[in-house]
Amino acid sequence: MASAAFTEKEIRFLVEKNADGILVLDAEGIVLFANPASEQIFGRAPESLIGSPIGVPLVSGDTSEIVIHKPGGKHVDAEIRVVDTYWDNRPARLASIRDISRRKAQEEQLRHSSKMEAIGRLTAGIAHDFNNLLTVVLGNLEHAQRQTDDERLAVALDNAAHGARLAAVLTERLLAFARKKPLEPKLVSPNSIVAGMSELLQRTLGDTINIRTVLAEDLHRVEVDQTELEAAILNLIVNARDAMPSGGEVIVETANIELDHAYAARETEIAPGPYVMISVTDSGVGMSPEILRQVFEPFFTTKEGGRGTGLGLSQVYGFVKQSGGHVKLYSEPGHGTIVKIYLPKAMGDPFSQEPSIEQTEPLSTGHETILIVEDDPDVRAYAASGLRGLGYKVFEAGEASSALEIIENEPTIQLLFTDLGLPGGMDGKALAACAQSMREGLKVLITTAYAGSALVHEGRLDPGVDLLSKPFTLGSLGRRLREILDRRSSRKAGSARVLVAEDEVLLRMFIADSLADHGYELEQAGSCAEAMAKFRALSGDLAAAIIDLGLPDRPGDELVAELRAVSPDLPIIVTTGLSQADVAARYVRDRRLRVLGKPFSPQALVDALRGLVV
Amino acid sequence: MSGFLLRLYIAGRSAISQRAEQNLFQLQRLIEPDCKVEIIDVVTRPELAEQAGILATPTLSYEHPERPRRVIGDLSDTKRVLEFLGFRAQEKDGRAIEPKEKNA
Ligand SMILES: Nc1ncnc2c1ncn2[C@@H]1O[C@H](COP(=O)(O)OP(=O)(O)O)[C@@H](O)[C@H]1O
Ligand SMILES: [Mg+2]
Repeated sequence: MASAAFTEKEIRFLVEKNADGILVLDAEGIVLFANPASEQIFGRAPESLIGSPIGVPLVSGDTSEIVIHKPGGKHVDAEIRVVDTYWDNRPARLASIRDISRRKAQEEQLRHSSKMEAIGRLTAGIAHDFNNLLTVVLGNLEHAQRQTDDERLAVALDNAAHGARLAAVLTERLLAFARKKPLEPKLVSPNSIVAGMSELLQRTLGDTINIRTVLAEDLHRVEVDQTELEAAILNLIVNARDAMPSGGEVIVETANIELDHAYAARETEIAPGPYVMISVTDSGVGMSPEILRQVFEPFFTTKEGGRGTGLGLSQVYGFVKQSGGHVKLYSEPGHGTIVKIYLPKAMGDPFSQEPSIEQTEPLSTGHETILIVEDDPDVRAYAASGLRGLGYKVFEAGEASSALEIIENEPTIQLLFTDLGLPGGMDGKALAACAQSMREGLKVLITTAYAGSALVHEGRLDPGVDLLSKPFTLGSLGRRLREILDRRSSRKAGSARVLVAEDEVLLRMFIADSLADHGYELEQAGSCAEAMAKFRALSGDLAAAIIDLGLPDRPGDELVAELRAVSPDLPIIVTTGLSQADVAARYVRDRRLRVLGKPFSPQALVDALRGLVV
Repeated sequence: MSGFLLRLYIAGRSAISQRAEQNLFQLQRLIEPDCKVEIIDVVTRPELAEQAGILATPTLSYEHPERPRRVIGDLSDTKRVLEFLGFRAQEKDGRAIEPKEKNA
């Protein structure tokens, strides 16, 4: 029984100085001795431990895990190691006890995050496929809606479309949790976002709950998707409200926080550095540790009767993680909850006290000559002065005949910008045809509040005519003009050929259907290899390419890169159901490329193509 | 005598608690048929743990009037636990052996 490698005196010395808690127990499990370090773990003076019947530690293997109970109800996870010895010449056990609560907490965190990761992957996979199918369903419903005159059928189709759109909202939330929702990060000031929401928040909380905001001065700005940040704050406020059925107070606070290395080491998946913290504190019912462990899981809810969706905190989690941040929850049952969101300070934002300027892209300017034809004098004046401000030379007309006269006398006019509805018997479309027959190569942009129908001639848009729907802003008009004026004028008449690389057959058919209506001819490919072969065969004759990022043989972005290498100007539309935050950002420099999130409508696809001037 | 009581103190539904519970039931099967067991969660019943002076969990307490005995750990070494408590394991043919007090 005895391992008498040390004398009792030696053992006493080692035990006294040991950093682990050490107890010597007699054969019945009564404490004979406790070293000074054991006070830390047991929360009791070593002398008071002596004589306590703690029990005989029977440990199989090297160590065993136990929980130490401190006075006052605190628990410490500990590891116990036992050796047989002699004490006062009698057989005894020497138990060394080490606090492992920190290690356990980290293991638990790791387990939790890998579980969330797994749920995320599963969710993303389902949502992705579901999105593809919804695109097909919605698209075909739209087709059917357009083609039916039967009123009862129309109602049924409306209902079906409504249901499908709700399903699309659901998949969107699932993608948000799975951190796969396409985000549009912008430089924003959390303070102005909170301030801008104050009325909405108070209305959400109702009369019995007070809201107090404590906004830090000189708060850093962050680079996140504003809509998602607002949704996250609102989700937290809704939860706070639900936690306080009989009223209370909510505090929304912002602060600059420097997360140090120690913090980063304690929390998995967080980098040290400057962060902005946004916290929401309530004085509500709180949560037990069991509930706290599960709240981020999609569909986890404790709210009965369909009041909860279980998707609020999953949105918060997905959004914050996807934005490079971190969420932390503290809750005390019966007292309240505090949720802290940490978002990384925007890079290159050293001047945090700088007033937040709306970050809009600069307006596209030009020097060409443009003729504006518009019967509404206010709209005409707005467009004309705006375009002059952008550097264009502008002529104005109120109806078709005076417009034709100006075109005849002004050979510098390169573009006709006309309203579709004009007085005097000749509409914008007829005016365009007439003007183009007088001046070959004249570019035309038609604007109308009723997009589509009248401009589509036997299912095809007249070549050389572009459409801008009303209402338009000066920004969108300027951008559109630039695109049209910059377009190479050498374009073959007839239909434009578009290459579609998409592995989902139904979706491909749907795209082909939608585009055929608008006079595009489709070349279909189900993989990168197939798309590349078609591209080589057609090369010069291709007007655009539509590429899904998730292709079976290789990632779609490799295909994009290869096409770009050969033809730098080819209009490309990238479709994605699983868009990473950076998909749009990745291509931001490519002015001939648009990113389209699934599900998309036929109109969105056509608009995107038109936006690239195909 | 009959009606032995083995009382197991655990803390919450952790993996260790569950392991200890399973081992307790294993012990119960090995000891004679009418051995009773009781499980006390010190998280939900802190006052009982306080009364019994429980410093660590899992603790198995054998409530013997003259000589109460306690074991700490997850009870996985069933043989030694039985030995310490003063029981002999059932024989292989399944016949129960009279519990025998271990000499002090
Ligand atoms: N502030 C809070 N106070 C108490 N419990 C909360 C709080 N926020 C979230 N919870 C708990 O987390 C669960 C999940 O929250 P959430 O994901 O927003 O879904 P939902 O609100 O639809 O139930 C809630 O059902 C509730 O049990
Ligand atoms: Mg909620």
